Amino acid sequence: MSEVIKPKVSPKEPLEIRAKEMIDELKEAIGKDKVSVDLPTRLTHRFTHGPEVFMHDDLNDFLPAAVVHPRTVEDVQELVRLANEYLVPIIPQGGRTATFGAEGVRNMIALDTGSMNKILEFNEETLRVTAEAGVRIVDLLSYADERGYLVLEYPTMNRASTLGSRVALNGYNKFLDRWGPSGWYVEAIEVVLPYNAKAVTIGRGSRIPHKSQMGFNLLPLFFGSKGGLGIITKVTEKIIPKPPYYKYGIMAFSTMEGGIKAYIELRKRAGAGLVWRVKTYNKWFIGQAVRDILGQEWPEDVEQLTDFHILGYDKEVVDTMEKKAYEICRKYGGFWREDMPETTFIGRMHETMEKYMGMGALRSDRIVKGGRGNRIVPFDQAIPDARLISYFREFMPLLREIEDGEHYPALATAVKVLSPGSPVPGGYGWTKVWGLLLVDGTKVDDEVRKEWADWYRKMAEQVWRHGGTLTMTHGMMYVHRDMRKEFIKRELGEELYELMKFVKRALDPNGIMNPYALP
Amino acid sequence: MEKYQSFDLEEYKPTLLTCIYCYCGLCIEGCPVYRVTLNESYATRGLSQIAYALLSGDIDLKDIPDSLVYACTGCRWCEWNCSMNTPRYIVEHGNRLNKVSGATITELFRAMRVESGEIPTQIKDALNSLIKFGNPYGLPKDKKDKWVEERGLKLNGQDTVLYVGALVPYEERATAEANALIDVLQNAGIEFGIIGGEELDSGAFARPMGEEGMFREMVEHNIELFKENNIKKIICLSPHDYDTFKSYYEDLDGVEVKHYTEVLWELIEAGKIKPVKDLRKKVTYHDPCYLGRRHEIFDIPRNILKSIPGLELVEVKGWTRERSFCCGGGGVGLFYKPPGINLDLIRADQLKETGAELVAVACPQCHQTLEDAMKTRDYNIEVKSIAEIIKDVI
Repeated sequence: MSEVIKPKVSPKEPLEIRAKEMIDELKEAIGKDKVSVDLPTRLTHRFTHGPEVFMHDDLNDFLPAAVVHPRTVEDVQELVRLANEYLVPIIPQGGRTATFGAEGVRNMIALDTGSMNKILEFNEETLRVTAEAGVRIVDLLSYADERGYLVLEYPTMNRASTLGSRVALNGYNKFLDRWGPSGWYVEAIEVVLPYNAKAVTIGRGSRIPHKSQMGFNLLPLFFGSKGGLGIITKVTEKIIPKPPYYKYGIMAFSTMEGGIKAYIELRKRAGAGLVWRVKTYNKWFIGQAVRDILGQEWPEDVEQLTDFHILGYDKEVVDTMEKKAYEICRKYGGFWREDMPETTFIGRMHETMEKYMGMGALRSDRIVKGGRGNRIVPFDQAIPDARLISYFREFMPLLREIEDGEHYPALATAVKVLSPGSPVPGGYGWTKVWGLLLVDGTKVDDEVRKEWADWYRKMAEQVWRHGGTLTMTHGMMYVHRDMRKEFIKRELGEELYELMKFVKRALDPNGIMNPYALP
Repeated sequence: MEKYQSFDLEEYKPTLLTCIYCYCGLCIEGCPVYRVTLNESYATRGLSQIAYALLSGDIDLKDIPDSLVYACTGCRWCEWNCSMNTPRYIVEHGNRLNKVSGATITELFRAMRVESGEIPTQIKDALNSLIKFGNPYGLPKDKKDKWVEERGLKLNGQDTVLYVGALVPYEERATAEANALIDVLQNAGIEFGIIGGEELDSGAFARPMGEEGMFREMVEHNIELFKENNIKKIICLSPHDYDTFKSYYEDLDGVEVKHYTEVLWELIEAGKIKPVKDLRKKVTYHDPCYLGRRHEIFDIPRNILKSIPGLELVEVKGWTRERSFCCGGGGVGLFYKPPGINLDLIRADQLKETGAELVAVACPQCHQTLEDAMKTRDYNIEVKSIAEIIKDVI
């Protein structure tokens, strides 16, 4: 058994001093050009897309001591070795468009994977691609597309997201309902282990066969590890031939229930491999977006929209499924009129990301006179399909409490509801309630944070009563990262929490990996 | 905000916060400086953080290195791609103050550097020369007057001016482009004049160098000149001047501003110039940032090239049209290149991959930058302006 790297400093020594000593040695070991200690680069690596930044008055809580830009796995190994010796934690960072976990931490080291950006192998025989963790998803998608293939790793933020992060988050992807989340098509990873700085390949890589009974299957351990169990440096993923036939359809419903029922039934077709994505949107969301982005009024009689994406290799089959999809929608009252406002900037958001994210300007000065925009904060509790309608009936009034000015007067000054949730598949039998809030960061203070946490506790109770999970993708949104332990324990139970801690201690005995991955 | 969209960093704060709050990172992927450095502090998402920290007192101006202040070439990839620039209000009424843009942030940093006097020598020299001589090369104004006289084009009552900008007749390639354009326009029977030595830089160099005061003076001076001479139409050689006139010259009411490729295409469509000679070459077109992304003129130059018999037009894979990769000649790129940030060489490599024998350009700054890059790389690829190409085939 490989030895655990022993620290050569005392944990009692201040972190700031340990970090400085470590950085000096790191520069010697891997080269000064790969270690940024200049303030501009450190400032750049403070935040992520998440709202953790609103929980702190001092933004330098997020200021790392250095940003390391490794180019090889050996660079990463050296970093991990020194992190153990000096007891300085590492926060791995990719595109930082996930909403939690990769924020910088004062006096810790941020690892920027962006310089490890090569596509290493593209194997058309075994239908696998292997690439370094810092490859941008958009580059991987283009690479595969040019060769006639589709990479299933297809997040909304594909233009900023990086490959390693997708595994670390067990990310949500466009065609999740058909193909599953990231973990389902990751065939192997290379990971630098925290306890001994060794790089191991876990999984079968681009070799075949895929399934094996040799030893334990440790690959899933790292899905969703959030930089807490090791540093992923390479990923091998499955690719598929690009389906030549793609149909997008959308229908309107005059009731929320009609749209959701159509959504649930369309999802059953995903198992047959035909409907790759379904989503449903409420007028609370669409009405605002269409009015303020397109300048059009939302039709009074349309409460819900449901859209679907059908892909396949056989034109007749795809055409037949498309007809079937419309029949299903009509069964629940679906209809369409030619004068309906254009909504594909939402429905096809993976391709129109700039317009989708532009909704952060809604209900702000930016729409009216070009002033400051807000931050979009997603929340994504996941609920069993069977309880979705009853959940929404309880959840919508709770959402309105954010804005009514009576229940949470401080919160109402800082937060608005953009979307109550656009249900989107969260795996077989589950739905991710993909809601969106708009936050005016200049108005967030301790009173707002207190009311925010209070509202979140109420939301959590509702979610658990309906058998759901607080977050499928985006992480816990409204509580300071130091409070997350409470919610994890409540949802998962003490035993499971302790098991996770046990695993973390086994792999990372010196506590050098992202301390907020599992608080 | 003052006239001609002048303001300071504090006034830009709401736009900075807009970027910081959004944090989508769409600006990073195609930022040419990011692509070369792989350091996000050069992309707008990083620059916003740094600028906000400057306003908050978390960083001093002196802690922001020259490379960060001056690397941005103003290619506007970030501005074009930015989520927060998509709302209708911004599309219809967007200006330098409310659009999220790395170019603007770095211009504001540069303005602060000018105020503090801490400017790289190469830029200081170019600025001093602009102030004294109206061109960045330290060459006398009367050289321009002489050139205009030799061409017989001193503005004398014509209502159309050919605005050749601060590089002509001081820089060889820009001058060749201007001469070729003059010949083509005269051949087509177009009446126009050139102002000469009194013509200052449009501000296209002054603003990116951080000289806001000089910028405003130049704009006012030029507007006065155009008014005095009853100018109704300005034909620009350089997309940078074209952009400056279109974006910042608020008091140019009733004056039509065109880039020369727009004029050439009109003449071709009207049959007033006819490309008749064969040019049997594989040609690729490099979209200048200030014509393409900034003003969405992509097809006109291509139409001009496609009208030439025998010419085979090929595109750069992935980095063309709206995604055109900056040559590095914008911003202060002609005078100061931070070490290791070689956008020109990257672009030369991309152009070479097309297999083209000739790169067509429509900007004198792109022309010199790319031609020098081809020489550095030892690529046997000619770089020529559309004006010169057309002159050869009519």
